Amino acid sequence: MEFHEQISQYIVSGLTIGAIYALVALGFNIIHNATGIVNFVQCEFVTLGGMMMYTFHTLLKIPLLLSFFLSTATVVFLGVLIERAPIRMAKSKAIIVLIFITIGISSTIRGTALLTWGPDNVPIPSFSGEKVIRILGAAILPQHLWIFAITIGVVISLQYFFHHTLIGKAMRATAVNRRAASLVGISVNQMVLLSFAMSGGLGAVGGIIIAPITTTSYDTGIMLALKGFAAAILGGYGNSTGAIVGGLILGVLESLGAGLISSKFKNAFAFFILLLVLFFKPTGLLGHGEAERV
Amino acid sequence: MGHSEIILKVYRLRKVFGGILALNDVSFEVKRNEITAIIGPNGAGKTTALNLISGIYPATSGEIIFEEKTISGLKPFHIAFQGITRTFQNLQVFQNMTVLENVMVGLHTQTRSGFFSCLLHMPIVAKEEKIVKKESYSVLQFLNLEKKTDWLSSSLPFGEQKRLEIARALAGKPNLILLDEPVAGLNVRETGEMSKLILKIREKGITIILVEHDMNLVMGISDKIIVLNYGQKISEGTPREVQNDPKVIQAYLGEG
Amino acid sequence: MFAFIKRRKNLFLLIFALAIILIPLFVKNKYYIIVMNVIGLNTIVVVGLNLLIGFAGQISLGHAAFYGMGAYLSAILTTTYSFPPWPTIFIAMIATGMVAYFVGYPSLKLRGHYLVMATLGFSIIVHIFMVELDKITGGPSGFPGIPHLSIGKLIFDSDFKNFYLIWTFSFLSIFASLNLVNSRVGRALKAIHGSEVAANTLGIDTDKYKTKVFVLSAMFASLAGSLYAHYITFISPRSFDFYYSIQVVTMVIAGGMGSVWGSFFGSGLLTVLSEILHVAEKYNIIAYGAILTLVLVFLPEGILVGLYNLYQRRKIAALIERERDDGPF
Repeated sequence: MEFHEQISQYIVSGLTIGAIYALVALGFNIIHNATGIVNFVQCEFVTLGGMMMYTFHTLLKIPLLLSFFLSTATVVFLGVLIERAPIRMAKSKAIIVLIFITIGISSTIRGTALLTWGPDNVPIPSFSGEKVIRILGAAILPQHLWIFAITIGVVISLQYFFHHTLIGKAMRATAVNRRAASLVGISVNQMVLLSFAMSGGLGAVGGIIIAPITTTSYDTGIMLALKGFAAAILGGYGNSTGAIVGGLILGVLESLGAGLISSKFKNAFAFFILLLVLFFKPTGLLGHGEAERV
Repeated sequence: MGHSEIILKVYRLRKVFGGILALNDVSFEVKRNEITAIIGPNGAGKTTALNLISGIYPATSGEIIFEEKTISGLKPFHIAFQGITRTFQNLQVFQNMTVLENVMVGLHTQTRSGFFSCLLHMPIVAKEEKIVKKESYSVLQFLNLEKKTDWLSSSLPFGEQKRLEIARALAGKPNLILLDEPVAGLNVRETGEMSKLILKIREKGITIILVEHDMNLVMGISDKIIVLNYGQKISEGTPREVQNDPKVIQAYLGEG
Repeated sequence: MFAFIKRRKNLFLLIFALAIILIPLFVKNKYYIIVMNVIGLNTIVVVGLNLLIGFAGQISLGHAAFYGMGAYLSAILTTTYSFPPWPTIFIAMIATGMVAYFVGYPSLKLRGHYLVMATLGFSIIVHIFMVELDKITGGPSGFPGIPHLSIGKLIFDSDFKNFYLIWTFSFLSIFASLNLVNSRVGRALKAIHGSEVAANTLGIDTDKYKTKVFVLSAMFASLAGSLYAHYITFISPRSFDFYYSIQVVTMVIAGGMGSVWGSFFGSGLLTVLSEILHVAEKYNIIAYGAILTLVLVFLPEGILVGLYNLYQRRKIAALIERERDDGPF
């Protein structure tokens, strides 16, 4: 392969995985904006998206589209369950405790996944075959196109939701000022519930669409979600455009780094970038002073 | 450590938050050992002024000079070491500690044991602990809270928690104390007691800046009043002068 | 609440010290001694971590990395480069502390919970280094041949001898923590946890304190790691992964955030639980997750304190019931 073809390839795979990071980052942002917590269960939302796809589509032979919806719905339901049960019932609402609870729930779900599906990677078939298309020297699978298309679709829907529907605007209002929002009649509890549901959905979709390419297992979500978080920080924590920009840039940087510098340390790149951002520009590329000094 | 008459000078202080101009080129002086009150309708910038003086956030422009030293731009903990302490509008008593422990934290600036000494329980630590306990106890006596030293501060009634916050602020032997709405939420009797307490603090030689809405209190004990409205100083003077200032009356009552 | 224990601090320390001296004389089963040694090592890590979580109110998911750094630094320097072991433990602590400073200070300056992710990311990087820099670290198959610690002619090569070694350090960790907690610095940390703004206005440099306690907790973990390396004489990256970070955090929470003795209890309880589950290791993750979640939701003050409070409330409720029936007289 020629050098420029290699670069194209790295960029394509980088954008692909970057799209997933973007979806996960959006999920983190939505919950953070609504509740102020870092939601570690995001990791499991991603894992379960893929694993439920495996269960519905590969094991139970349910058709693709239906499986997609069922898997996403299951995870959304789980997100709702988590908000309704442990988060609501928690005796202490201190942010540190809530974050710890999400860590605990995440471990519990992961442990359950391990017991249910075992430790091995499981395959998911691509949505529409494996015929390679060549664009600018890069080999593109149909699945890559699905990932781009679905991600763009999700992003556009979210844009519409947040800017042109009443509920979406209510969510944005809650993120800016909870008390004011509740004073004008917005049910903050419902917004929180909705944010968990949406994050679940975003994580699940991310996990589902990448699974055919990377296979999935009980703990794939951890790496994907953590890098998604790194992407959120890179783009500017809490900022939705930032999440997308951060995700794509992170994906590409990681891919180029793995290809050009060293593939052994591939997983470390994302976290190096995370630490660099925290050290030098904590507000991220597009953030506006969210991460202020005390 | 000059002993000039003016202990604090605020010069053309300006603070912008995003799109909001909270303080607009405000200047004033505070005389040593006087009670200076800052009043004004809601949103006038009073608490912002206190926050700037105590270093909670930096001013957009302008200067704050304390005891002839420029303190604008210093972090809050530095300012504490300069001799300025404060209380908070929304009560920031340490709920997770006892009454005595709260006040002991107030003596942080008067002590020096660090991580190393404390881990190894070096002699300096035991020595300082004894002194700190004794001084904290006497501050609590000054505020009539000495009977509840081992109570968890969250179990004190509201009025006593406000007194506790003042005790904590006094423990550090400040030269200037900022009281942010000290009688908010107190009943008439408690307000009267707080009034006497503030006068007692002045008797000790401490300078007091007071932000308050309770006009009886303010007019009753202040030596000087500064009136803010929409981030600007619209009047200053003795209680009588300010009460009769038509600009002040208009600001509080609206047009006419 | 546990003022009873607080006031009798020296008594409990004495009982603890006596227990350490006497236990190996009565317990002859090697397996139990080994489990207790693991508890001892975990106690050192957990006591340090508790200072960060329980007092400064910060979360770290990266203490496996500090534990591992202590272990690998001691292992590599003493085995490959023949450094003397005891000074190396100290060197490792300093090095780990410096690294913790570089990770911690920028994260802790920020408002919000950035330390969580920074430590998580950092520990993943460290783990990758442990695995991939195999020329130095031995890679995934591990690093063997680490010398035992010794004092003069006394070599700590048996489980019994290491019991005394490890638990002496556990005792010292608890002792130092108790000193810190009941001092000016301990109060400052509690103040930061109570109200960071107020603490600042009282002269406490909160950024510096949070960073220092983070560095301190990293150094405790490093110490434990070094002791572990010289005890087992073989280390591998598997012991220093993300799951260990979750385990020690769970121990802090179960024992009660902010309680030094609680950390010892949490470490003991959950290490034993781990051993019981060792038969079916795949249950470890779900067990820890479930415990962490349940304790946090229902007993956020920790298992002991939570149950104690629950018991007190039941007692008072029963008292009120009886008064209502009998009438007060």
